[in-house]
Amino acid sequence: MKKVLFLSIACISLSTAFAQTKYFTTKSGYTSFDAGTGVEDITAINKSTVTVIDPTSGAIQFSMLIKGFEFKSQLMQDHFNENYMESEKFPKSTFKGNITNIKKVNFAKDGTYPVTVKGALEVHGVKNEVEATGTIKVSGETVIATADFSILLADYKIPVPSVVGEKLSKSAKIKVNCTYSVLNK
Amino acid sequence: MKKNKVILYTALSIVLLSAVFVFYKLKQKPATSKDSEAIAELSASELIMGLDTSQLRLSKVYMDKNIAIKGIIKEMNEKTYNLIIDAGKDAYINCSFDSTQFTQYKSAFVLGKEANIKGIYYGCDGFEKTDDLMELMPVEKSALLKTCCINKK
Repeated sequence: MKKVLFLSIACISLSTAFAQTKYFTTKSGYTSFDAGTGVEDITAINKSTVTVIDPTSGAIQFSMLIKGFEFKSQLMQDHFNENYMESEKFPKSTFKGNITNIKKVNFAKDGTYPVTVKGALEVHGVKNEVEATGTIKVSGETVIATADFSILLADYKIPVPSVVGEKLSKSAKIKVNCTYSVLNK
Repeated sequence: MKKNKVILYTALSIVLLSAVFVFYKLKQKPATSKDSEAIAELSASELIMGLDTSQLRLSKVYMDKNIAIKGIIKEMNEKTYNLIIDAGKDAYINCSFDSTQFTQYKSAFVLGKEANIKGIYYGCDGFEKTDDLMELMPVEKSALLKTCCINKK
C-alpha cells in the first residue's frame, strides 16, 4: 500500500515537473506595424520574430531584429533603418511581459481565449511599459497568439522630421500574430 | 533675355529630373536575392562559425548582400513562408521568402532534407552576451536572410 502511494506521488511530481518545463515557441513570428496617416502607405512586416510563452507562469517574451522588417519600397526601408530606427546602433527590439489572466487559458483544451499582456517593450534603445489585449487560440499542440496595440513614436525617441510630418503618423499600430509549437526543455 | 530663358529651362529640367528620381526611388521595390548572384556560397554552419569568429567584420561584409547557404531544413512555417535551416548546436539560419517564391518551390522543401538557398543577409543574433535577453529560452545563434529564393547553382 505504501509502495503504491509512493509511486503515485512520484508520478504526480514528475508529471508536474514536466508540465512546468513545457514552453511554446516560434522563430518565425509575424509582427507588423502601420505608421501611415492615409497620405502614404507606411507599413512593414517582420516574419522572423523569436518568441516564447511559459504557459505555467504566463511569462511571454519576444525578440526581433529591426532589419527584419520588410517594406514595399526600398527607400522607405532604408530611411526606416538609417534615419528613424538607427538599426546599426539598436539592432533589436524586445518585449518581456506577462499574460495577466493566464489562469483563464486552458492549454489542454482547444478554444480561443481573450488575454491581456503587460510588460516592457524596448524599441530604439528605450524601454516603456505597454499593455495589449489579444487572444490565445489553442488547437492541439499549436498555440496562436494575436495582439494589437499602439505606441507613440516620441515615447521611444524616434524622430519624425517635419518634412514627413503629414505622411508619418505620431503613433504606430502594431499587430502580432505568432503560431507557437511545443518546446520541451 | 536669352540668358534668363536658359537659366529657367535648366532649373525646370533639374526640378523635373529630381521629381522623376524621387518618384522612381519611392516606387523601387527592395532588392531581392533572385535579382543578383550570391557574393558567397557556404554551408549554414560555416556562416554561423564565421560570425562566431568575427561577427562585426563578417556582418559588415555580408550586410545587405546576397549570399547562398546550404543546410538541412529544420522547421518550415507555411503561414509566414519561412524556412529554418539547421546550423549546428543551438544555431540556425532564418530564411524568409515571399509568398510567390515559397509557393513555387514548396514541393522542394522537405523537413530533414538539404536546401540550397539564396537570400539577402540582414543581420545576426545570439553572438553577444547582451543578446541573451530572454530568460525563458536562451537566444540561439542565428542569421537572417530575407527575400530568399532557391539557389539553382
